[in-house]
Amino acid sequence: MIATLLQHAVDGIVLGAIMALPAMGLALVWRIAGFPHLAHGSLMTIAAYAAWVAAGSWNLPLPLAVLFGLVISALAGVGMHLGVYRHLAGRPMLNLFIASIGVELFLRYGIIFSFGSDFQTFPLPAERGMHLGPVVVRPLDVILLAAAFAALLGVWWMFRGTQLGRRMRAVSDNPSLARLSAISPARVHLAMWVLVSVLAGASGILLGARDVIAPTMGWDVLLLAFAAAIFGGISNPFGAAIGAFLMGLVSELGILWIPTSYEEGIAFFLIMLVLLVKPRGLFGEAVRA
Amino acid sequence: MTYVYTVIAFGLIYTMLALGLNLQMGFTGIINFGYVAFVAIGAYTSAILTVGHHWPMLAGWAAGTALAALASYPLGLLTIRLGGDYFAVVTLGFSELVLLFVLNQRNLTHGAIGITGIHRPFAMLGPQLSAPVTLVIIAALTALTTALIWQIGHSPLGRLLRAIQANDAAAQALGKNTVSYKVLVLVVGSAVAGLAGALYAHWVQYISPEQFSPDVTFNTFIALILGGVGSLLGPVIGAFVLIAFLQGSIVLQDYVHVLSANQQSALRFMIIGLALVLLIVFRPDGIMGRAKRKRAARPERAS
Repeated sequence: MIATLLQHAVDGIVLGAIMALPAMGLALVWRIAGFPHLAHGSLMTIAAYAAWVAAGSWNLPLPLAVLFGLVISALAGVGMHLGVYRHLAGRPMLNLFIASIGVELFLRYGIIFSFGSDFQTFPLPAERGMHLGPVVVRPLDVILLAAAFAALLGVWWMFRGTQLGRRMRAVSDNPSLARLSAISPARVHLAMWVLVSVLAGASGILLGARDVIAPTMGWDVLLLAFAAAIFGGISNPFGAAIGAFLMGLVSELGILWIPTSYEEGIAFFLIMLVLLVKPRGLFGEAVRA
Repeated sequence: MTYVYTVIAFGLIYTMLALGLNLQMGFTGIINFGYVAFVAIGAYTSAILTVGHHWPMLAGWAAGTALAALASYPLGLLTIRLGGDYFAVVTLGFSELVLLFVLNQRNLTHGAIGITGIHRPFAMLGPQLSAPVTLVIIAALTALTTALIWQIGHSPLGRLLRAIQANDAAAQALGKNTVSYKVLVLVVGSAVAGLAGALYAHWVQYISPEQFSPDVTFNTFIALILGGVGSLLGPVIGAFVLIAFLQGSIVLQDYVHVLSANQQSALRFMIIGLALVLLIVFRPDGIMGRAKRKRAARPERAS
C-alpha cells in the first residue's frame, strides 16, 4: 500500500512538473498582458514538432534539435504578440481572449495541415525505469523534474532579483507610471513573450519526448495548466506553479479511490471547491482595483 | 435538397445557440466558455428519454431544456461571483466535466459509441416528408426564441442587463441585486442551449461525445462575433454566414481534389481561426457593426 501511494505521489509530482511550466507562463501573460492566453498550448506543440523535425528529418544532434524547438516557439510567441495581441492592447479582455482562440485554431490546424494528425515520436533510445526503493522512475521524468525546478528558480530569480523582473512587475502594476519612470512597456512585453514561449516550448518538447507528439498535445495540457494556475492564483506565477504540483498530486492520488477515467474531473472539481473559499486562488493577490 | 436542408437546419440551430449566448455575453457580459455543456445536456437528455424510455418527443425536448437550465443554476450560484475571467475558465472546466461524464457513464450514454436511432418528428411520414416538417418546427422554435430574446432586450430587464454589463458596481449601487440577475440570465441562456441541443439530436438522429467538443462553443462565439455582439439580429446573420462557410467548404471537398480530405478540413479551421483574429482586430462589432450605442472605451487593466 505504501509503495503504491509513493508511486502515485511521484507520478503526481511529474504530472505537476509538466503543467507547472505552461501554468507559470499563463500567469505571467495574465499579469502583464492582462488576458487568459488560450493559444499557449500551440506554443508547446510547435516546439515539439520543430524539435522533432530537426532531430528526425535533419538528423541534428538532440541538444541542437531542442534548441531549434525553443527558438521556433519563441519566434511563434513573439509573432503572436507583434502580429495580433499588441494591436488589441487597451481593448476589453474578451477581445484578446477570443483573438487567442483564433490564433490557437490557426496554429493547431496549421500543424495538422502540415504534419497530419498522426502521433509522432522522437528518435530516442529505449528507456529503462530506475528503481528507487519501492518506486519506479523513468529517466526522462527526472530530466522533466529538473527542468521544471530549474525554470521555477530561474523565473523566481528573474522576477525578484533582476532589473527586467522589476520592470515587469512595474508594468503589470501600473503601465503609465512605469512609462513615466522611463520603462518601455513594449520592451517588457516582448521580453515576457520570449520568456513564456521558451517555458511553454520546453514543456512541449519534454512532454513530446515522454509521451507522443500530437497536434492537440498542447491544448490537452492547457486546460489542466489553466486549472492549476487558477487553483494556485493566476496573478502570481509561483502560486500557479505550486498549484500545478498540488493539482498533479491530488489527481494522481485521487485515482486510488476514484475511477481513472475521471482523473481530469478531480482537478476541475477541486478548483471549483477552492474558488468558493478563496476566489483568487490559493496564493492569489487581493482583487486589484 | 438534403444539402440545403442541412444548411438551413444547422443555421437555425446555431442561430438559437448564438441567441442564448448573446443574452449572456452580449447583453449581460457573462463570458460562458462552457456553453457546449448545456447543448450536450439538452441533446443527451432528450435522446436518452425518447430512445431508451420511449418518452414522447415533446416531453423529451422539454426535459432537455429543463435539465440544461437546472444544471446551470447551481453552477451560477457557486461561480458567478467570481471575476468574469475566472468564470470563463471555470465554465470551460465544467464543460470538460460534462464531456467526461458522457464518455464514462456508458450504461446511460453508450460512451464514445453514442446514441443511435433518435427519431425526427413525424418520422412516420417517411424521410422525404419528415425532413421539411422538422425544419419547419425548428424554424418556428427559433423564431419563438428570437421573439423571446427580443422581448427581453426591449424590456426594462434588458436595460438593466446592459447596465450590469456596462458597470456592475453602478448597477449594484442603484440597489439592483446583480448576482441574481446574472444567474437568471445564465439559466435562461442555458435553457436555450438545451433546447437547441435537443433539436440538434433529433435532426441528426445520432449523437456522440465528439459532437460536443469545445469547438461548438467556439463556433457559437464566432457566429456571434461575426454578426455583432449585443445586437438583436446579429446572431441570425452570423450563424448563417458561419454555417454557409462550413458546409460550403465541405461540398467543395467533393469536387476539388488538390488536398487530402484531412488537409481540407484542417484548412477550413485555419481559415476560421484567421477570420476570428481579423474580425477581432478590424471589426470587433461584427459584420453588421453595432448601429448605435458604440461602447465607450472602458479603462482596462494593464495593457
